[in-house]
Amino acid sequence: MTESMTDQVRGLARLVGISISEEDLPEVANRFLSLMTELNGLTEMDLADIQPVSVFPDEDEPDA
Amino acid sequence: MTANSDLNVPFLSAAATASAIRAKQVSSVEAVQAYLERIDKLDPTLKAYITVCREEALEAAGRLDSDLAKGGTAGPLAGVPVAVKDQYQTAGILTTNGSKVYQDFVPTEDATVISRIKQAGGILLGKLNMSELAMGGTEKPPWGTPGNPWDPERTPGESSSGSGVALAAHLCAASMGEDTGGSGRGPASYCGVVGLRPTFTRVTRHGMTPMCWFLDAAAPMTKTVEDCALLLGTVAGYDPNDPYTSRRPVPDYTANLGQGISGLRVGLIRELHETEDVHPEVKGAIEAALEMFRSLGCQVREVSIPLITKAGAIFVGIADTEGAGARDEILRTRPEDLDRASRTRLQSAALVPAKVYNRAAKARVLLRRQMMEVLDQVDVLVSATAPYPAPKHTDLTATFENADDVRSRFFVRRSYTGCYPLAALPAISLPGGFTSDNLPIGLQLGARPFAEETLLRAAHAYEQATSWHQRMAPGAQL
Repeated sequence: MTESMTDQVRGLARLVGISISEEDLPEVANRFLSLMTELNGLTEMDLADIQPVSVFPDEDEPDA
Repeated sequence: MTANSDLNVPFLSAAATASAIRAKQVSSVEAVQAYLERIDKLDPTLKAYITVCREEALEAAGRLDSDLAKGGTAGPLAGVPVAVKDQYQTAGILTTNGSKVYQDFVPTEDATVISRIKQAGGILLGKLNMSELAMGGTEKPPWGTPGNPWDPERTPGESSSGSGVALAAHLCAASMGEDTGGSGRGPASYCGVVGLRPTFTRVTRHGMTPMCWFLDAAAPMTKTVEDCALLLGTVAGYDPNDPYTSRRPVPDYTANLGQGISGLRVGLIRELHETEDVHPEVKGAIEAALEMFRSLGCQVREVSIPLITKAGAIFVGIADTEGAGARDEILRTRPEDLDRASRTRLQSAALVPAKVYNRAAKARVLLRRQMMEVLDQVDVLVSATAPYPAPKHTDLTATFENADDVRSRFFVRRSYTGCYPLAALPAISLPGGFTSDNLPIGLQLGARPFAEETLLRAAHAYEQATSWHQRMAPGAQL
């Protein structure tokens, strides 16, 4: 984990109003980086025409 | 009434226990006492229970026996000792959600699921251990680390850990767990029992502490598929206290269990099978299960759901972000009261940008579309419940070394179970074999919305054609 990454995570945490201890910071940064990497992989897909609707199985399903 | 020692009540299914009590072969009090005896002997080691409702259970069982003696009619769970995940609120009984944050929380009313179990004649035996806030990965559970009855050094799965342990060790007859992304099916797989995630909205969540509102489901966990059908029928159905529950009628899920599955179209999910992530013995067990389905008259084929390998990341992107929002006050004011693993997981999720959450929400809809298209071609989807058997506790709770470590240990296995809640589909895990070192392997089946009858019928046919569910865990021996 690079120092710049932990700095970024520390800065983000400050912005959202939570306090992360120095002891927890590397773990939080690893988790956050991994989640961002995994979800950034979704940018390869064309999601432009998909509406992020909640799924209720009893309703009509135009997307299904 | 004299105890019928031949029955060995704790080793009966819930359905058989109810039948024996109705037939007055054994009393409900005797059934409760038999379980309490086992809890006293085994639970100091296994740590399945947070609270044992000893006096309350004996009193309720006594009332039921008295009613039966007077000719009263008993419900489908007549006198059956049921234990529930400590995520369900219980009037006058501590409800911890597996967290120090709730260590003094005593609700004033029962969750609807608890009320329905009691109305059906079930006896609340106790509240079961769980991962903190139903999240999984808790390093130091405040009420002890539950041990897997198949190997105490291994995890029983998460987050309905106590449910899996209590069933495998015969410390309760049936259980209600909860399943947000696999929290019921995972422990069922690792502990060699049955766990069902019903269709979203099929079962009320009133009085069940949420982990992620959009994905949480009350999850029957049992020793047999028949018991699972019985328990689902008890708790399913519209609840005015949870207006999002479906108004569809609740069928008798036990009625058609024995109808057979000849002609059923079964699809193996290629992306969850043809991958190096799957342990060779798990892969072998799934292929043997497919052969069994063929021998039962099913049409077996392979299907493709391309996005399913991303389900773990999509799930975490949505569920953890929602969870962090719901726990915002705790994160701001008392993060030190959370277990380190829960705290760092929620803190990382709290940082997710809105555009990334939006992308995950869109990907969820696309995943559902892909799964529904495949379910036009087959009736039942098949995969392993988890790509490997129960890991060691130490493997599960070790600090993540880097982002790749997070991917391999955190996201991959969540794709196996997380895909169904994302798509609002029902899925079941049942015993599907054992590794060479005697660890259970879970077989997972999924189906279209509200197709629980099909799902249970397929699971029952497989269960009755195999003997995996009859194997006894070493940790269940007195």
